[in-house]
Amino acid sequence: MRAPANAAPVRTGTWQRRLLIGLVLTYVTLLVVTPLAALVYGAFAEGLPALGQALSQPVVWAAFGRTLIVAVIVVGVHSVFGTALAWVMVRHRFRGQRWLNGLIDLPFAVSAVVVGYMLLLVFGRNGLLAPVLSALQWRVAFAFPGLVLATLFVTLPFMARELMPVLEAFGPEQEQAAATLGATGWQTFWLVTLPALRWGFVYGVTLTFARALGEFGAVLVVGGGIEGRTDTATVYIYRALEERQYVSAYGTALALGLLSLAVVYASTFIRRRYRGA
Amino acid sequence: MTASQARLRGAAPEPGWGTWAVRGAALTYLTVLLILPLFVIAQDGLRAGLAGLWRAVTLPVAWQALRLTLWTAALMAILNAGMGTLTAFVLVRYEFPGRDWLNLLIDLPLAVPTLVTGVMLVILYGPQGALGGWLESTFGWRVIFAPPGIVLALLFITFPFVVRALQPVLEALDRAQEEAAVTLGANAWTTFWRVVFPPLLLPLTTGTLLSFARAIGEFGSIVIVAGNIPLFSQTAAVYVFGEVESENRLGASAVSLVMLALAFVLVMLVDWLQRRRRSVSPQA
Amino acid sequence: MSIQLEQLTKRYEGHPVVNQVSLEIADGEFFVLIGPSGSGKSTVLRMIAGLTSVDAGRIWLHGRDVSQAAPQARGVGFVFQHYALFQHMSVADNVEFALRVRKAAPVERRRRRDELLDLVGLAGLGQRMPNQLSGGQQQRVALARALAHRPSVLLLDEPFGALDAKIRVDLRRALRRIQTELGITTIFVTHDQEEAFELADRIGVMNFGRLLEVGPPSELYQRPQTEFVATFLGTANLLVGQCVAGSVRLGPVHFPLNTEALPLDTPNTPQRVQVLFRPEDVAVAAAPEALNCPQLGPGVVEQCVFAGSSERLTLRLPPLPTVRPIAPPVAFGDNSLLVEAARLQDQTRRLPLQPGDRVWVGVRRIHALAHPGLSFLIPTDGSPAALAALEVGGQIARLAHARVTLLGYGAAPTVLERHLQTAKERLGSGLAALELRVSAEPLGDAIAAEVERQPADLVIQGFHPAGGVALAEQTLRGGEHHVLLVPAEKNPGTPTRALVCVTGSEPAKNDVLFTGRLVRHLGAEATLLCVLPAAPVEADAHERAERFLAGGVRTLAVLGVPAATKLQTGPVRDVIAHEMQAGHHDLLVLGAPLPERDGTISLRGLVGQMLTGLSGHQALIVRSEFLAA
Repeated sequence: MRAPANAAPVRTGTWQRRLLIGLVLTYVTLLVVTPLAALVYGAFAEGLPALGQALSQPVVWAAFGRTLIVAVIVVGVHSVFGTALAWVMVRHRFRGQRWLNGLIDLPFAVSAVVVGYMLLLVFGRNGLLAPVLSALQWRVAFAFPGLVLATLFVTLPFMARELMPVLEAFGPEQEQAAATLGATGWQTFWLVTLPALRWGFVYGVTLTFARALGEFGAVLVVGGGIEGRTDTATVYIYRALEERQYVSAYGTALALGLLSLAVVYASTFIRRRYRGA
Repeated sequence: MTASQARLRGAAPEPGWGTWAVRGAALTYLTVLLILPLFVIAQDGLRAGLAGLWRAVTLPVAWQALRLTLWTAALMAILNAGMGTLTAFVLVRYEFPGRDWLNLLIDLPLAVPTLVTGVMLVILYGPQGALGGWLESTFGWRVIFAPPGIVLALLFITFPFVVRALQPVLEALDRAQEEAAVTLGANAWTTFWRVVFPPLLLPLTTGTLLSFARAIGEFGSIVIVAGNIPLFSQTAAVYVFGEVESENRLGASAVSLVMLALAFVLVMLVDWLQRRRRSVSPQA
Repeated sequence: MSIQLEQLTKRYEGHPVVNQVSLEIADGEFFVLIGPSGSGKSTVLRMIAGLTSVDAGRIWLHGRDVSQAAPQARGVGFVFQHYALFQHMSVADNVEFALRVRKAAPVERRRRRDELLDLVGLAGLGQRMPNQLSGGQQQRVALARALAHRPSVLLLDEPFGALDAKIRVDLRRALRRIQTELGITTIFVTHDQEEAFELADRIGVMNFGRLLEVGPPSELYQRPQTEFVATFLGTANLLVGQCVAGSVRLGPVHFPLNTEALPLDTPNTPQRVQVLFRPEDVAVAAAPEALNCPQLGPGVVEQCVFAGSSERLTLRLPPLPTVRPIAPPVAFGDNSLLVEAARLQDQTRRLPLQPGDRVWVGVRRIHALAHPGLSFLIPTDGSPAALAALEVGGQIARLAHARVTLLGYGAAPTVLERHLQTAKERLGSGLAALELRVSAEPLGDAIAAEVERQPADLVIQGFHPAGGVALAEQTLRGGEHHVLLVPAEKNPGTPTRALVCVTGSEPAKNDVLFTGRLVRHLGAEATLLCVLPAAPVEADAHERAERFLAGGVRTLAVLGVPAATKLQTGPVRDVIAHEMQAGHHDLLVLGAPLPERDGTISLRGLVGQMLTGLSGHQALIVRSEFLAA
């Protein structure tokens, strides 16, 4: 039996260790846990009936429904194109690839407001594509398609970035082995590559979905937050705060936060379990 | 495996039509979604020429918003780098009760919508909030609707970045190097700074830069926490939002373009650093 | 004394990975610690360096007790298997590190660094980064780095394990030269015996956390005291023979006994011994007259391997009556005797051989080791179930010449002393060796502690259908032994007909082998039973099972156990139960389930069901060594 790899080689004093652990735990408690507790407290501050009433308004349901539909569409699109993108970036070599590789991360860093504004410039009333869109009678800005486009933009990196390291670590060796064993390109993809990508894919979907649920700035700018037409869950929370309907705002925020947390943690647990830590 | 190795071993030697189809689809997707909007905003921002752009950016309100954005993000980045390193170190190196929970909590800010983050902070630190009321009455500290609230929100949102960048590197570190240092007579402090820290420097830098980039563009939590008082607590993203709402296209485009350029430079810098890291340590 | 270890012990999760190791190493000595992976040799080294804490025992370096000292304070040089160079520092900075942390003057650092790089043959490469060097060069840097602070002791942990053959040889020479030049006391850990022989002044062999033997290479090679050392160092032909009045017998062949050290209790009665001869001790000739040494008999060349300066032969001989081979191991399903031989070039030229050629085989010299025999552990708590086990255990032990340890458990020592006295009477006299032990712990812990001190081959314990399965589980958990369960209600006597339930798998071969080793002493016969599901999953399952059963019978024949086979289809549990009844079997042999990930063995499945269904029969649960090997 070998020494466990993580057995401490250096006998750091126990007080140092305790100090560091204590410091980290305090920091995380103050920064992350307390605000979360405050949200729960805020949502229930006026009692359960008030919260129930606030959450059962049709506006809230409609907004949530819109958020979910957008998220599902976005996840679907990225599942296909994001996988293709990751594949192309890892396995293909072409000119300008390094720039593209950097660009994929851009939506991650660009302000959501700027994203919304850019989309307005392309798809808005006076935008670049306005003549085409009006000829086709399509409305993108201040309409549902705008919400989808905005969310697509901000969630662009997640799928590709989750899959790329998996694909890279996976390497071409196993695919080449499959080829020497007589598998065709498709067989290799379905039987060898895809199963290896499975958990990267699940995580990519989860992150995309969670981010889509929570997108606010871009959706607000592109959609204009028109009640009953383009308000998503986040936009609704924002408006409720503006209108000082605190119970609805806090309640919806709590519900949205919990939904998003549930999605992310569920995938963490599933992944841990099936990977057999 | 390094990128260069992948290049050497390469994919199938002669791409068939399927390969081209996949490549075409992926690139079209990227173009429509990403490159077209970028192009349009660059064009729009430079409509009045560089001088016009400069004028729009140096308007006192816009200028103050940019300055506030940069210094809050920078302060957050420094704090986050320190605490993130410490957290990653404690998580990887120490066994203690609640470690698994702590590990789960790290991801929480990634999962919570930033708008909800803002709501949380307002409830906690707002003038009516339990903690906020106490802080204001006892120390005269104002957190919400003031710059400290901005820093706090940014710290929450970017907390995972540094931790998650360092964790795998720390885990992959060859413990024998530390043991070697110890048998050669180095104490714990020297071992950390001379042996453990140098390999962490690059991922720490990229993680910090990414969190900085993310902080510059943050909108959802700030719009709720900061109160948007021009010249005092209005950040660049909130400023752009205001300009868009009031249909001031030049102001919006100019500041957007500046933010976009910052984001672009930071992302490219991170990308370059990561590539360099991969080429420096082949086993990473 | 440079290094002194006293009863050094280290445990991980309760298991000792280093078990009471004591050792003394002289100034300037080159000591090699060798053993298979997981034998604890690296842990010993790490404890000396202070990288792993000591659970019990003491370490002295130059007369100073450093058992609890920090690694920084021990002043040792340590070389790691994967170099552990500081990747972000240049070669020069790596070498200077120890002097830098000691705040040596820059001039002195540079002088020392140049001196060391020169010593290891890397002068002028100081400005390179580690990843610009080859593996062999990196390990030279690591060696220079470890010597920079003039350590009193140099410790190397499989330093050449990651390098290819040619470079290993170069580095070995370089290391030995440097060590002699500096006169530094060195411990070198390896699993490569060639490396050990070439480098060592003395070798220590470790296995399962114990330091088995220590001595100069030639001594350990020619006159090992244990089976493990005999087979681990070099190629060995090891057979179980008999020793009578100054000579050793392998079946009909007599050898004069040339080992005085053999500890024989009773010089005049025949006693089992292990007989070792090395490949170079084997003589091969075309005719019996050409052999001027004792003859093993005629054989057939099975394999010829060209090995440069010599030639390695594998010879197949017909079985010798009463001789059991240990190494090379008999192939499963084969009853002939294999012998490894080595010939030098001139012999090869005089008598060229090819596979299939018939030759006469002789042995020039042998070395005899005391045969350890089987060792039994019989736990008792004074209950009726335990008493039944005692009687059967005693009978089997007498027949098998097994050493017995009687372990009283689960009560205060005074109570146990009384139990043990009755137990001893029950056990009867005439045992090869008997030892009494007590432990206040419950069964599982008591056994674990006891086998840690002294491993057992077989634990014999009483079995009661209620709770017996759980007890058996605990016993299996304690160590690497097999378990014989004796039913509580009546005394069935020693088994005469064993039913060995096998699957056609690799672990089942082990079930057959151990059953053979045990029941051969009892004069019992065995039936190998293979049960296939009613609808076989694979078409050739039937055929494979038949092949396996036939192989099993041949293997048992080598051990002198008459055996029959049965191949049946149906629900496994019912078929076995029926066969036990119908065939008048009194011993059921089952393979232990494979261990779970945490090392425990669960009997909740088929084995447990079979055990609860036992009606007055004994059951042997054979542990698989398949995964451990």
